[in-house]
Amino acid sequence: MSEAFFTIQDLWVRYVTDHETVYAVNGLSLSLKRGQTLGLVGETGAGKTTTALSIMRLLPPRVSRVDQGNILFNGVSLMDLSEEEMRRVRGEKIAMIYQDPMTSLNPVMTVGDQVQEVLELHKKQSRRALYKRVDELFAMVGIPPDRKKEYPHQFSGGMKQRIVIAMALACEPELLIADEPTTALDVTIQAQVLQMIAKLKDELDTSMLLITHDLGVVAQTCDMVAIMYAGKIIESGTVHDIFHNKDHHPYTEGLFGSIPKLTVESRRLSPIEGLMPDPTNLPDGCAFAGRCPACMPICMAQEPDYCQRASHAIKCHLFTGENRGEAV
Amino acid sequence: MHKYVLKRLILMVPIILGVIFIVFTITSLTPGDPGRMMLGMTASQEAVDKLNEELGFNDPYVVRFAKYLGNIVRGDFGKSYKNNQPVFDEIFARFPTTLKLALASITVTILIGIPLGVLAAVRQYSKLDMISTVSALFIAAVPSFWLALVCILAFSLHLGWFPPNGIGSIAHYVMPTFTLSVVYAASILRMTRTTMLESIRQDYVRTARGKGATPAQVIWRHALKNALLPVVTSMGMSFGGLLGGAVVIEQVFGMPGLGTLLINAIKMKDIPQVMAITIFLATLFCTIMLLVDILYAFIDPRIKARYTS
Amino acid sequence: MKKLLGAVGIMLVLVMVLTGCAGKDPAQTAAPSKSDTAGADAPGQTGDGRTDIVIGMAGEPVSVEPQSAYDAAGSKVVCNVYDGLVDVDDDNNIIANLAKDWDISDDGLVYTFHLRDDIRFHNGDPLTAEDFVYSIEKAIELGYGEETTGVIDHVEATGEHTLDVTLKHPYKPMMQNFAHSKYLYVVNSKLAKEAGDNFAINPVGAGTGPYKFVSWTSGVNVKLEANEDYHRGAPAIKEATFKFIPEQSSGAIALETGDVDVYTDLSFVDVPKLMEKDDIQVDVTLGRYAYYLCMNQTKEMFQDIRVRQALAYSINMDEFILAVLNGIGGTKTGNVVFPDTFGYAEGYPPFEQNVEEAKRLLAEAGYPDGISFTILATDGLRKVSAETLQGMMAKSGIDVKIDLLDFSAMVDKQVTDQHDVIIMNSSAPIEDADSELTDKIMSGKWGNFSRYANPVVDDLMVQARMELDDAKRADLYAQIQEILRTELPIVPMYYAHVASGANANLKGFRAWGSTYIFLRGMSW
Repeated sequence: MSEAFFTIQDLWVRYVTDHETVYAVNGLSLSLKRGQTLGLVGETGAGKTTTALSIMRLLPPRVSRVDQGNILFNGVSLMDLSEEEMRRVRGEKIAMIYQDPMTSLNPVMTVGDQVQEVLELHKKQSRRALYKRVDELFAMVGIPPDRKKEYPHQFSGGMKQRIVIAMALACEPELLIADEPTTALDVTIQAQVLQMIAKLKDELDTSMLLITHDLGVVAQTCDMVAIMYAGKIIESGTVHDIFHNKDHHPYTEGLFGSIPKLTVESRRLSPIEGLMPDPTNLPDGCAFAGRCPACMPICMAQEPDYCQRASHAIKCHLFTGENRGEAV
Repeated sequence: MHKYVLKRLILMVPIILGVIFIVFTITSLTPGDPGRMMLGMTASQEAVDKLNEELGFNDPYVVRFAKYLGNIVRGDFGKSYKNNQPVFDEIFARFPTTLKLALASITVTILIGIPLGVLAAVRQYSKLDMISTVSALFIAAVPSFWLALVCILAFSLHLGWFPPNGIGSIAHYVMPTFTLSVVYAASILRMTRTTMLESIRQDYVRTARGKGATPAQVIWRHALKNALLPVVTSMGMSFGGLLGGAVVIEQVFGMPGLGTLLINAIKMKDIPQVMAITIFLATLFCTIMLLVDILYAFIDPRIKARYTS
Repeated sequence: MKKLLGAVGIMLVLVMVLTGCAGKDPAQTAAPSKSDTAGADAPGQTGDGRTDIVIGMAGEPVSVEPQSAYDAAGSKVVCNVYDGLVDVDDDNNIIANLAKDWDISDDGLVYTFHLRDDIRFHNGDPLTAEDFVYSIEKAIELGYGEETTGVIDHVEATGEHTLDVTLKHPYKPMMQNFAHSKYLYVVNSKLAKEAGDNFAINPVGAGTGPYKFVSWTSGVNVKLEANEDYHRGAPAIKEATFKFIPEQSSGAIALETGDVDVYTDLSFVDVPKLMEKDDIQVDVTLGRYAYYLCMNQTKEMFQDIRVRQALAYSINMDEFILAVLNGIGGTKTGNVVFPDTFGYAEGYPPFEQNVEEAKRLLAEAGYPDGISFTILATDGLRKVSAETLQGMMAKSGIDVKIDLLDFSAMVDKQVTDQHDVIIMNSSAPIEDADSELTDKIMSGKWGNFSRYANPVVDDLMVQARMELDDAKRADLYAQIQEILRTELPIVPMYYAHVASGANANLKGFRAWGSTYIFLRGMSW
């Protein structure tokens, strides 16, 4: 098995405005092995998209601050690259599929041009080869190449997302970041699109960071899972660890409600009582303490460490120190 | 698209008829009569009445309006009360000056306003943004009359670079063009900045950056084209306005344009001349707005789709 | 915020620099550079041998046909292109021109002119009496010069070079009309008839004057060239361009930059600055306009002489001229007749402000608490004047309201007697008391917006007009002026000045009080 080629180490990201400071990512670490898919799961506001944009270095300028941490890609720190070097990474080595295909495409450019643009930016080739490649990409995502002269508004949501996918995969990137690629789509085509992503990823031997809050999706497509809460990974492991192991972070338990059957096609996260802590004012101790059914005094005071069992890591006092073993 | 253009062209007819009706009515309702304006304060009322009678001004409003419409249908727009010359002779004599000034001004406006607006938006809160935004505010608040005079004083009188007055050479157009452009560019700049700020926050701009597009490509290729629609409208209106004649600038720089012609005609109650200029300008303005709409279609395919359907 | 303040600061500095160099530097730097090229200070050098001239004026002619050139700009062109039957010398004495001599019938009704037989129009056609018949009839028909042509009954050619002009009634100043009125200038009747309406804008070859009409470019200029065969000698300046510069301040700058050699319509704001310049000559002279207050006497309040007098005593004309006319744009007067014209009577000095007297008169007239009325005004001079009067009259307990209108709307109100008070200026085409008084004070005259109707004055005016004996006429006008002073139907304010400027090297330049500018006497 190959070593992790992509690692995030202790990433801290804040958004600072005149009125407030939002602590979006607070000491996040994760790693991904070549060819694998990592599912990053969490509620809205957990910091998943911020993490993705940190990797791409596309965080909104001025308001965002990366305080600490490192992102290593093939042993090179993305943080240390110049803007121009980073530009060459984007789209070629690391590509991204966005949440909302409706707004992710430029409305005044033909879709063909938008796909072609990626190739022009990164791959020097003849016009003819270029057009041929564009046609291939369209065919690859299941859109007739003769429609490349059309504009985004002439396509349905699912078709647009296919175009975004074609764009992302045009240069056969080493890492694909898919940020909730199906949430904005009709339920009927979500599976289709997702299957296509998974298939193409395998064909192109690309690694993927799949951001989602759909546990069904995770079960179907991921090798590894990381559960995110208030800017931190609170539990991570293989799909087997998350879906079959007995011990879980109480938040993960909450997410499942009851452990879902793998046969269930798709399942939304079951609601957990209470809200995420205010990201402008995070509590001491465990961020989940306020909503946790198993909350202990220590949880309010001290942030738990990870409890590592083989590939499975849980960040909870239930499994650390003297509490170990008392767990349910 | 052709159908749409044809439809719009046909729609221009009622618009221009409306303009004719409104302007004719206003000139009729406003006090004063052409005879008095032409003969002056010392002329006797009999002489004034006689002249008004000859001009047909004493007929009832409805009769005059009907006659007027009948005449213009036959292509006869009448003769100026002022000097008995066909009204369009004067318009065509003046229009080239106005057109040259308008074209030069709108070009310079675009060349100044859009790049600066884009830069101000891209470097929001930078010194460049501050200076251009504040200058734009300042210039928008400055009367163009004052600006024109300052230009004359500085560049004509003091430095002797440009002639202060008249037309004839390109040099004559420099200061009027500058004065007009600066004023219009100020508003285009502010508008471009606003729409650009909106546009660069759009998802597709992030997509473009995510592709690895260079900052220049992101701005000029992706963000600007989307930010341009409201700016194009505004430029169309500005251009229409410029064609109507920048009266103040024409006055200060002694340029014989349509604006001064219109103002003088209104002052003299030279109704045929006023009507002819108004009809001419209304037609021109409608045409420009149609061209703007067609330009829209080229900028935004979604609008084109709407036209064709 | 700090950044914003900084940016504002930079802008302010920029503006100050710009306006600063505009306000001060030209006087220091432009003048020497100008005189270098113009050679103003170089002794013995007269101009630079130029034979052309560019005259800037505030308007564009409405016509360049004398019978319809009713505006000031048109006058300036036609007075150089066309000629009249007679002319005047420097002392306003009648001298021969196109007519070599003339007879006036004993009843003063028929004027017989004997034309010179060697005069040719610019196109070479010989001048005949028929041309005058055509021109004068055209003037009467068009009606623009009614104040001078109205008295003419008919005109006929009694020979190829003999012309009879018959008046409706005896009119002593008629010869002045023949000399001064552009409406009585002659045009080539053949060309005029051929050209029809086009004649008014393109009368090539139709004049007999010192300059030939060359072209008129709408909105730009009118060009003339010297008539080398002019019967009184070819003019020194061979090419003249009349340029239209509507904005007075632009005109002054054009004069300073040398863009024009003459600007005929200077604003009094620019005059003092221009006077300081070595390379520019400025001439300020009495215009043919007297400004006066018309008080509508169909309104009860103004039927009382004491109220009218109170108004006269409430004005401080010195302050007014300072405030409104920059101190140099007018001469205060107590009489609307001009001092140098026939019929002027001495002994009516300007009114001095006397607040107490004004209050006393108002109280006596039954208005112890003062009065209130509206002055009609248009934007510009009339508005500023009205505002200044408003401030002055308030001291005497007179509450002035200002109704700001568009010109035609104002005239409309006047005609329908909706006005209280207006500030009037009426020009007098010739230098004669008849011309200066008729429209202002005779009952039923259109320009009499005081609506003053005094049968005695009307009668005296008619008598004076018909009278052929100068001494008797002068006496009649003296009587009229005495009544006007006593009854004060109008309050005389000031004689307006006109200011023209020219390149200092231009010889023979001056400002004309009439709307004319005669190029024939000018040279470099």
